Amino acid sequence: MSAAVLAAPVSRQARRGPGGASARAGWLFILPNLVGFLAFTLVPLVSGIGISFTDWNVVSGLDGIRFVGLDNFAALIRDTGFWQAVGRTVLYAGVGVPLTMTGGLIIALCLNGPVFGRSALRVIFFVPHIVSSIAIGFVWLLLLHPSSGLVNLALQAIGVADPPTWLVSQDWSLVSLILITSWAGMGFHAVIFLSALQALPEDLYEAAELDGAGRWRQFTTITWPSLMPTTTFLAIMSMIGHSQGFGLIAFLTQGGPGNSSTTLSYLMYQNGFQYYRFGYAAAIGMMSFVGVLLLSAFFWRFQRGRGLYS
Amino acid sequence: MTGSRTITRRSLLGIAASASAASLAGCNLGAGGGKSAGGGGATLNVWGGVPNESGPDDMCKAFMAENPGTTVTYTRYVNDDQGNLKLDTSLSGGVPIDLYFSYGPVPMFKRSAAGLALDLTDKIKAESDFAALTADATPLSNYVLNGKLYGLPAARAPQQVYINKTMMDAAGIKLGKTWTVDEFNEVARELTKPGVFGTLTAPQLARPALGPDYLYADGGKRSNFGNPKFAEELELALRLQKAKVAMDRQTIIAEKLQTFSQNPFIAGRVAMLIQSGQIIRSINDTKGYPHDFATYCMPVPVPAGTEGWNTGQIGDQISISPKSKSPDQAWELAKFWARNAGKYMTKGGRLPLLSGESTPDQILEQLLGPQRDKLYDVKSWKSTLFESDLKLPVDTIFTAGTEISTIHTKLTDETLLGDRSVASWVTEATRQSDAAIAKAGK
Repeated sequence: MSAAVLAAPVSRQARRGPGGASARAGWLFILPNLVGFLAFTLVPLVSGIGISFTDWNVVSGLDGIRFVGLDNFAALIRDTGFWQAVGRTVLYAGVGVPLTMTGGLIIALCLNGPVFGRSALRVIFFVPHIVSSIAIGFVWLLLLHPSSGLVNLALQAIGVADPPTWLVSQDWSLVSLILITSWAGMGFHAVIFLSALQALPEDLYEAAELDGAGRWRQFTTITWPSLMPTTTFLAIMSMIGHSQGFGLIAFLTQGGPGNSSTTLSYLMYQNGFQYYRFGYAAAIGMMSFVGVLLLSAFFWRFQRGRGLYS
Repeated sequence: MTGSRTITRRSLLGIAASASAASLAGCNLGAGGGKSAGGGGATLNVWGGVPNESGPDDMCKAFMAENPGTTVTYTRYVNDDQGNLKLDTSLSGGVPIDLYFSYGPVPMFKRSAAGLALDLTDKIKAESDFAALTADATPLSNYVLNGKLYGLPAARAPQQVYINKTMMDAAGIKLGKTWTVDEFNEVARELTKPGVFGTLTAPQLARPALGPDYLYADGGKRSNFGNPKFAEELELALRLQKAKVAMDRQTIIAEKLQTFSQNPFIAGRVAMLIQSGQIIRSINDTKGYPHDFATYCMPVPVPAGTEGWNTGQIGDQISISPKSKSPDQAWELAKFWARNAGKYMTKGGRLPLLSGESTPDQILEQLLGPQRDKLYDVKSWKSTLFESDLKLPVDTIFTAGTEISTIHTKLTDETLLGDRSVASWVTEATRQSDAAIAKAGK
């Protein structure tokens, strides 16, 4: 009896050991995710890095892979089309990310108060995030039609004689894409901001009120610093999303008119899937990856020490 | 022992490609497309872009009936960037494909250059009814690279002018069997009414005047956009657009009418449309595209004083994979397909290159469908497709073909949107295309 009682803790200890049943169970639990990560993240990433140093057209199979060292990167640096695409991507993300986040934050602040139908409004704002980008694109295609779209009809009704032609204008196509992408992303940002806002302690606001702080002062000294980690997370996610943004561009403009909406992701698609220059396309992907990585690191570093709870 | 456990790079790619092929084939089986493999004889796997029900199923059935013991499985791939990539990875990865279709010479030669197509030069030469398709035929009716043939063409895809006959009759217009570009423009002007453009786009001038390899100069060492015909073509397009005789580029891009050009024609927003045969499928589909007018057909207009090449091409190139385990049976099927395309593939809007035993009337019957007397002016179709002097250009130079096509489209869009002058179009098209040719030649 006593031997059995003593034996139990030893057995549990054994199970917790590095090779024990408990560890095996742990590995089994994470196995599906691990396999998914290896198959869909790590292997493609490593392959992408490898392919960027090759000249490969896929058609010739793996035997047709030719190692070219840094040639693709050297060609990219000389390629004016690449730098123009970098410029457009910076503009697309540089305007799109703050716009999406500001819009999301404003919606969240409005929904954080006592608003009639708050739950319904939350769902309505979130809907664009879960709807297929093709459906979103189709609706905006109709809305932004140069002559019969609702947007231009409304602009003409208020006296704008010569409204923009939006997606079919070299000057406005990227602006249109920024607006559509931001509209589609605001709901998701709003929901994340809202959950962060609702986690803020009420007593901080009560104390601030007692000290005579107004709404704006409360926002700048309590709300905004408290939201810093959430803002950083959303900024990084949104920047990654914008730098990879492809579906709406492919559906709405195919990088045009001309090259006016050809961002890095579309340039990559064009080189890979239309011209079969997979090495070059992978090199574009790598440059884009490094850019996003550096910016993400910058954001992360920037927010440290600036949050209320950092 | 070790060898049996080794997975080579090739077999790994093969496994991945097999999985995707299996899923593709599965879809087609679900749609009632393919046949299950089995039987004692050979199994031939065919990959093509035409939907199963638009002819391939009937073709496969007919071949199997004539060749008992042979099973043919047809897998449809969508003929777009992704679909072609699927075919390429499947071919190079070792998916069992015996026969496949390429739609145009550029993808076909990309595949042959990578060793994914058998040399068919001698096989085609050995068949007396394929005499026009040999590498040394005059004029050429097949795509030749370095004196070799890698595809057996099964279709011709000429462009023609689709005309709304109700509008034509209302304007009192009578047409002959052929016309010049000036005559076309005049008719387009007469057909232009409030809410109706005379034509969707302006006719081409460069291709009809310059014929094969019109994009290249110096035997393909540089582009040919400096030829005045290209500038004239753009100036004509700008003139017709400004006069509202041709639809404005803005609307064409906004409504994606480059892809869906049948929509404004069937909806009666344009009176004429210059297109190849795929539009016929939409015209025949009166449920999806209801309309109450008949469609009159004319050949593409000829610029005065030129040879008048058609702006279409030879299509549906059948190639045999070098990895086929039954290359002889695959060649038998390829021959059967080319010879019987008139019988089975025409209902999908594909005109056969070789009419085989089918008469023009039988081909028209298949092509224009059971409602042909209501939907078409059949006489004009017969005259245009079978009685006119149709000259399809067969290119021999394809360097940086996809890149040049993209450059051409993008710069033309910019010019027709008013953002670029014709002179600048010529300079940029030449500069960018020459750079693409130089890059491809490295």
